[in-house]
Amino acid sequence: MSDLAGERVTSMEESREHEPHRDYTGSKIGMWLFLFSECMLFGGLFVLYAMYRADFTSAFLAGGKDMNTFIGVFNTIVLLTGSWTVAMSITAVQRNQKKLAIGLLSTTIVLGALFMVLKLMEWGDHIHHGLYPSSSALAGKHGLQVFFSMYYVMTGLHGLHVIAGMTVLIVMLIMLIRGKITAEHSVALENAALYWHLVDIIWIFLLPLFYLAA
Amino acid sequence: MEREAAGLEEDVHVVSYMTYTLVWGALVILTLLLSAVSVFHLKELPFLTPSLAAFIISPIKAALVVFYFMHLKYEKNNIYKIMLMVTLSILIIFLGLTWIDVALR
Repeated sequence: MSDLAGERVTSMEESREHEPHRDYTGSKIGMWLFLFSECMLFGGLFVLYAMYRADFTSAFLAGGKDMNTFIGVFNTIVLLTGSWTVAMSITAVQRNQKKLAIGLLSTTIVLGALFMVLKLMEWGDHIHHGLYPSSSALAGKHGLQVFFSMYYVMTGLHGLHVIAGMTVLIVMLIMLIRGKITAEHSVALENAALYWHLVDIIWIFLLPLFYLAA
Repeated sequence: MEREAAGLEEDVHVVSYMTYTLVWGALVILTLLLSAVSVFHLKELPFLTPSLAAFIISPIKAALVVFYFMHLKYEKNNIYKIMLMVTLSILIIFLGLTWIDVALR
């Protein structure tokens, strides 16, 4: 009798060895901790922005007038829509609607690319008009130079996060197509979506700081 | 092990498409409202300055994303909410102390 029980335990242990180690809660907590460290990274820049704005209030208001509010607001809606589709792709995976999930995830990636294209066009336009630190157009205008330094650093760092997020989402799309992400094992996609939502939240705060500052 | 994994997945709340769509609609409306306040400087509402609107509307938008899109509302484990409170507290101390330094210089 005791031998039989012992055999059962061994066979259970063996079957456990074949299962890859998974820790749903651990993965989620790890991702959230990483996102909070990102909050601190951008938090430092927000503090810097606030202090410079207190020092150069009129220049920051003037700098806001050089921004294209329409593109800023349009890009916000592009990112919000991307967050909406990636959130729904998780529901689609959990409901075993694989094709819908692939479509929704692809939409998010395309919207991320659209955001970056618009952002780069905007940057190109600013540089064309001499709106960058140490340009001849801004010579002697210390406050505006500080405003545009903050603008390029903060939107640039955010842009890098968008590119990183798109790369992760492309990997998730491939995993989804290959059947590595299923209703039972969807934590990778959930964590990738969490990252994308954080990128969205940062932009929510960047919009009023730069585009609606005037 | 499989049963354990399946059990964990059963605990995960599946959010409906409708909930996500309503939240997305609210986010778009709040964005347009914030932009309208800033661009047109609504003269009928002199107390609602663009800065005040940004201070009120942006955190509401962020909260909608965190609670619904990021599933925080549906997480049964309170550790996520506690971690968020700690992060927000540190950020507020960070911002607040720097502000006091500049304001009382």
